[in-house]
Amino acid sequence: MSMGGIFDEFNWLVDTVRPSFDQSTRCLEPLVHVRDAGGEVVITADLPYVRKEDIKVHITEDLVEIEASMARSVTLECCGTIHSETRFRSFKKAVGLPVRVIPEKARARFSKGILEVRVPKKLEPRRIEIE
Amino acid sequence: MEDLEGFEIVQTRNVELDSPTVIIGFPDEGLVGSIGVSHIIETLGLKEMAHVESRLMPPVVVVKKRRPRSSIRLYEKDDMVAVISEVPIPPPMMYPLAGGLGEWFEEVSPQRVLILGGIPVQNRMEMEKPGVWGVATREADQEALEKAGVRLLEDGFLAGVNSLILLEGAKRGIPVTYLMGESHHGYPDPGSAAATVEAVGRIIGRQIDVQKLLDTAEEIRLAARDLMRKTEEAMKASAKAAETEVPVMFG
Repeated sequence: MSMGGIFDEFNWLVDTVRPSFDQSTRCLEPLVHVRDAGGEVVITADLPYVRKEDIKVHITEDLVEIEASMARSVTLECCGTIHSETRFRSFKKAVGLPVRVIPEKARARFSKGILEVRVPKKLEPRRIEIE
Repeated sequence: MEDLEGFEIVQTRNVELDSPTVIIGFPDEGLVGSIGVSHIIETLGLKEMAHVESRLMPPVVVVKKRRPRSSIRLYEKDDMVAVISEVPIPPPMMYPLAGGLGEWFEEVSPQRVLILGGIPVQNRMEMEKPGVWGVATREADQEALEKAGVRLLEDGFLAGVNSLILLEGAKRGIPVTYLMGESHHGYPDPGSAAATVEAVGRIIGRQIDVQKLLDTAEEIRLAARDLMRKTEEAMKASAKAAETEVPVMFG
């Protein structure tokens, strides 16, 4: 096995233990995906126990921040070496975007607990002279 | 007890199997298999009968009710066996696990093997009830799938441990069917698991109530977040993303 292979496996194991919650603020990190869809970037987030009116989305040219409070607080087992129970009340996550976007043209919808934000890319084409 | 190239099924309860129906649910797209098979175990009251040991698994032991347990376990009741894993299958273990299960299938001669998984679709947000796709190693089972309202996958790519188990079935003449619920990409999808479990019920001729699965969908989505994250990492390493690509066919 190559050294790269060994480190690939090590990274896979390390990532599996990175916590996705903050016990001090009782805040969960939602599952989020960013997809390049041609002329726009699509950001989705899984937000169970959340109502549409309790979601806040802030967007800049290169960052999206999602905050949402849950309709009820939930108790989850936080896995580590020792499992402990913590009550959580909200979600929060900031995600860097792969390309610059036009924040003013962003639009969002929320259906069956999934938030979807679509925002057009900021295209700045520059013609290159062919030598 | 078997020893198959570092893969071992350790039986912990004496069970005589007579052409069982085997149902497999490993972490995969939307965790459809994990959620669906866990629901079947709970609803039909299957009891633990064996676990898998392998040096190719990450060195992780699950401690439950003060007892160390393997993360891949087999449950049984009335000649139905369910196989689940609490952790994603690491890529180095996929071939040995599929081969080991193939050997075990030859020993127990299952009347059928059903693998539950997910297939990501971009319009999942618009779907009230997701569809279920299937691939079967035996022609008679393909007809049964159509009768059960399962759409047959004509062309496409399948990746990951489920596809290897399907291939083992084809190679060894075992009737294996891979059922894939249309699911969210990267999010636990209890709705897709419910649709897939209903399809299982139609195939085996036994109604399996999925109402609890639907009623507790939000709870499941929260509890399964970390398993979903880990599963995505394993899927990236096993070229699972290729399943969403359109195949190029010649001839």
